[in-house]
Amino acid sequence: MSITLLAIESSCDDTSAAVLRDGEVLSNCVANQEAHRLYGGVVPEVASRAHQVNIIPVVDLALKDAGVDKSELSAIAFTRGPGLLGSLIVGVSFAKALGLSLNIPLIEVHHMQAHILAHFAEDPKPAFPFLCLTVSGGHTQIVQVNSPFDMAVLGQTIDDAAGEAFDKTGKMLGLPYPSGPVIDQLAQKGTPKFDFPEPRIPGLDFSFSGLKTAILYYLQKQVRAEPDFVKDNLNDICASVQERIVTILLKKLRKASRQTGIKEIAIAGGVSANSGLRAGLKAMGGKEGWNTYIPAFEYCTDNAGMIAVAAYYKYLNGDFTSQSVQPAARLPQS
Amino acid sequence: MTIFALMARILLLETATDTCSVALGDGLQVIARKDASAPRQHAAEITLLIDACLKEAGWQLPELDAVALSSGPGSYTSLRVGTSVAKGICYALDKPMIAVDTLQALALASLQAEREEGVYFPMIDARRMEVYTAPFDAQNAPQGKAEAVIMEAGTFEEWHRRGIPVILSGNGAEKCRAVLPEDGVIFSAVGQCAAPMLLPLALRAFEAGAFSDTAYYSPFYLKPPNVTVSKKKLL
Repeated sequence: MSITLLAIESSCDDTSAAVLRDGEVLSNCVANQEAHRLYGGVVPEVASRAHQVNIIPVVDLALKDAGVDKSELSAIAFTRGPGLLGSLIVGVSFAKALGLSLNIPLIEVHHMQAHILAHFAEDPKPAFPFLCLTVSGGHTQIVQVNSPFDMAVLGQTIDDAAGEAFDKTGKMLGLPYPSGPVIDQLAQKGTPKFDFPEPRIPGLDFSFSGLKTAILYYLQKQVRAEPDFVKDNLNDICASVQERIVTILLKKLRKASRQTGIKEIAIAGGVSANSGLRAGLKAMGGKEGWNTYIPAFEYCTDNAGMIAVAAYYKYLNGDFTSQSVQPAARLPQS
Repeated sequence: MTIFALMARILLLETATDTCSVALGDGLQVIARKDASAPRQHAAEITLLIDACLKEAGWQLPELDAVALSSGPGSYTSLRVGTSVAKGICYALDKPMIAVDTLQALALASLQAEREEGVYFPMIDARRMEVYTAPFDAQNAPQGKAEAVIMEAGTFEEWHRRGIPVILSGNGAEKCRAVLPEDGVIFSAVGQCAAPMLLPLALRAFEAGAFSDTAYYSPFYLKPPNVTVSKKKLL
């Protein structure tokens, strides 16, 4: 008997569904919500309403893409949290109704753990234990992964996420939302000639709010003296900001590797699509003797494929969820 | 194959207000009803309530003829739970979905309870002195659009002047006692929305084949999302 899972992800502004059979992701469909561009950030009520009309078309597409009929499903997996409550409620409630209707079990998945386990969707797969730097618009953390079920957060941001630092810088520069990919493109044409400060945070934790303020004050000062400063130096500003964020991330990752002696090193989450971070990780990995793992682009941003992969391990472990489960905007990681 | 409405088996989901309510209609009869144990438990309890209703009736979900849900207006979060669950069941089992106007169902329930001539204003609480409401006549026909109204002494002045009694129902009615004049206002015994109230209108829709587009249906939010775009320039 093969194991066939339908997975649903609706934690933020993307509605996604995926089908997995016996560990292989057969389909991974994402409906993006363009509306948020108009507002310069994710508006929770707008996101919730969009999920409501996207959920069936996306699920239906995922099943059709995979060539799987509803009746063949073994279980329904879904992101329980963390995320925006109004968004999560749509995916979780829909998943529960599918489970009840098809008379099959539910599997709840932790969004951040799924980002990490996305590495097991394709080869090469990291060996346990490995370290994963998970960076997105909402999270920045270093996790020691001992098994699919045993993860320990070694360090995390005490304020903003790294992705927020990109987005907020983009806002200052007047770039469209989401700004991360735009800054990345512009940075490739510039040189990191402006020096932004590196926060001094003990241990393996991160902080990005001080950097954000420093960038703002620096730019305000320059613009006062030279009104066209941003326009004239846009590529170099982007390169400098990106370089600083990437070095903050990688230095902590190196520290974590040296502390734990672990040389299997992975990155995950939306910011792992950043070319500077990808290149920086490879360069540092070369010097430190790491085996580095970078997910394919489709597994970096929010997607249900990673939910399906995480759920597959839970399925094999008999780890199911009851129909009384409800979404959780905050959800502890272990 | 024609299924006569009077024989239809309909799952009824009422999630427009704080209390999640589920019932099963067998033709005109409500044969099971379960309400949530506490307010705002929709997300945790709704599928358990559905399952409990089915067990009580001795039915299986695939035996249903349709799923009817309360369209709103009401609590956004609660409506989302009901809508997502209704969509999930209808999609999984290829069942038709029926959206019943929450206010009309409430007006009909209060009409049946009060049997008064006048204009019926079913009211869904929208916090502070605001309610979602719409006028219905004593035949349950809508007399105007649904609106978000901030209740004050003169809200029904025109009806009072015309000597037409105003009959209020729903969970938004009680708070109006504080501001409305006593004369010409009748407070219906029907306070909470409950799933059985959906049945008459759901059956009528079923008979007429008035089904919603399961994929693209949205609840009746009444208001657009409250979005403020910052115009502040940082530099």
